[in-house]
Amino acid sequence: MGGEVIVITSGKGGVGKTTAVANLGTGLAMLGRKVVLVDADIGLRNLDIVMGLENRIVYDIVNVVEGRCKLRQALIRDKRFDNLFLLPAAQSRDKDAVTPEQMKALCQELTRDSDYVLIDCPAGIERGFKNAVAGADRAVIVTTPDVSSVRDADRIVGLLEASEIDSPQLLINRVKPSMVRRGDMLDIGDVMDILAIELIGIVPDDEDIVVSTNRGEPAVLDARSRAGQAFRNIARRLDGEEVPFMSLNESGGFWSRLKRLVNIGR
Amino acid sequence: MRIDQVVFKGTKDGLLVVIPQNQDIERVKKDLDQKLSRPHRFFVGGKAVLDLGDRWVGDGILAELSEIIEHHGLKLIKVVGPFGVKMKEEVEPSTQELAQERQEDRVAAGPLEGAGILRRTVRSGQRVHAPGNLVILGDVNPGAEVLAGGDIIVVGALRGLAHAGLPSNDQAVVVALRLSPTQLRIANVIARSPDGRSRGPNIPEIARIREGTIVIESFFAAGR
Repeated sequence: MGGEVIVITSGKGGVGKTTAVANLGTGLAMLGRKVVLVDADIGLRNLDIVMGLENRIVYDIVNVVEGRCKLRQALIRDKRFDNLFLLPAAQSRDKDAVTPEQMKALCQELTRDSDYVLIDCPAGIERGFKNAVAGADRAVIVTTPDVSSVRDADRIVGLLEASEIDSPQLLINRVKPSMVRRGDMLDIGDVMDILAIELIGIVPDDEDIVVSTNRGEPAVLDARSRAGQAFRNIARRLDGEEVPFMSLNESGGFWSRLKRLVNIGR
Repeated sequence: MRIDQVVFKGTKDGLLVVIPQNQDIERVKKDLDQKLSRPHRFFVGGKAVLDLGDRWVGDGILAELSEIIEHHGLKLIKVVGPFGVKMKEEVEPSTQELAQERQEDRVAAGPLEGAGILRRTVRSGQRVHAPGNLVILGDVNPGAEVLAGGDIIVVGALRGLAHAGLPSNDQAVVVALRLSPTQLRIANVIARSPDGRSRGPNIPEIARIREGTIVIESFFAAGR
C-alpha cells in the first residue's frame, strides 16, 4: 500500500510553485501525514532555501540516481516536523542528469514509505517537466491571474493529458481582490472559464510570503497569515477533506462589475 | 582563428582540442565528431588534450566529449579548463610533468592563473575542484561549491560550500575574509551554518578541525 505522488507544476516561472510545494508539504505534515518533498529543478535548486534546509544538504537527487548514496541518506528531515522530508536537487548539474524512467522508479520507492510525495516541477515544458511528471499520479497546476500565466497553464493541462495524468487541479495564486475589482487582473471566473479544470484553492497575495520565504519558514506555520490559511485549507483538500472556500473580501463586487462590463460591451 | 568551431593544434603532448567558448554544446559535439572523422583512421593511437578554456561544462558533458574523442581512437590524457587541469588516471609520470608545464603556460596565456588560483567569483551551480591548495580571489556565493585536496583560501566572502582536505587530510584549513558558508567540510567532518539569519563578524576567520569538530576563530587570534 503506497502513497500518492503529486506534481506541482505551472509552465510559467515565478508563479509560486516552490512556495506552494513548501506550504502544502508542511500543511500535510501538520495533518500528521508522512510527506516527502522532491525538488526536480536540477540546476536551479530552491526548495531547500524556502524550507530553510540548505545548510543540511550533503547528497542530492542526482547522487541517488547515480547510485553514489542510498535514498534515505539523501533525505533531509525537516527542522519542525519529524514526518516531513526533503530530497534536494543538485545545483551543479542540469536536467539531463536524470531520466524520466529514473524519476519514475524513484517516486515508486518513495511512496512505499510515505503518504504523499510532492514534486516541485521546474518551469518550462522540456526535460525537467518530463522528469517531474514521469512518476506522478496527480497534478496541481499553479497559475496567477494574468493572461500569460493562464496561457501557459492551459498548455500544461494539454501536456498532462498526453502523459495520462487526468483531472489536474488548479491553484490560483497571488490574487489581489482590489486589482480584480478594478479590472486590472483576471478574476477567478475568467481563469476557470479558460482552463475548465477543478479548482483546489485560491491564495491571496500576501506580503508575508516574501518574509517567510526569505526566512525559510513556510507561511502555513503562521496562524495570522491569510496565504498561510489558504494553504492550510488546500492541504486539507489535497488530503481528501471537503473544506469551504475562503471568501476573498468583497468577492461579490467583481462578479457584478463583470456582468455590468459585459452588458455595456453588447 | 575561428572561435565558433572546434580547433585542433599539434603539441608535444599530442593533439590539443580547443573547444569554442560561446558555441552551443550540441553543435560543438557534432563539430568535434565530424572533424575527427577523417578518412584512414587518421587519429587512431594518438594522444589528445581537451582544452575547455574558460568554459564551464558539467561532468556529463565532459564525459560525452571525452567519449567522442576516445571513440575516434585517441587517448585523452588530460583536460584543461576553468577548474585547472584534470589528469586522466593511468598517466605516466612524464606526462604529469608536461601537464605542469602546460599549467604554467596558461598563467601567461589566460585568465586561469596557476594551479590553484582562481580570479573570479564562483557563482551558484559552479564547482571548482583543485587537487592541491586552492586560492580564490573573489567571492564564493551560496549554491557554489569549492573543493580542494589541501587548504582553501578565499580572498573575499565565502557564502557557499567549501570542502578542504579531500579526501582525508584533517590538517587542512579554510580561510576567508568573510567566512559565512552554508556548509563547511574538512576531510570527513561536516559542519553547517546555524539556522536563522545570524551573521558572523566581518573579520577574516579560519576554520580547522579541533578534537574532531570544525572550529572557527578569528584569523588574527588563531595560534598559527
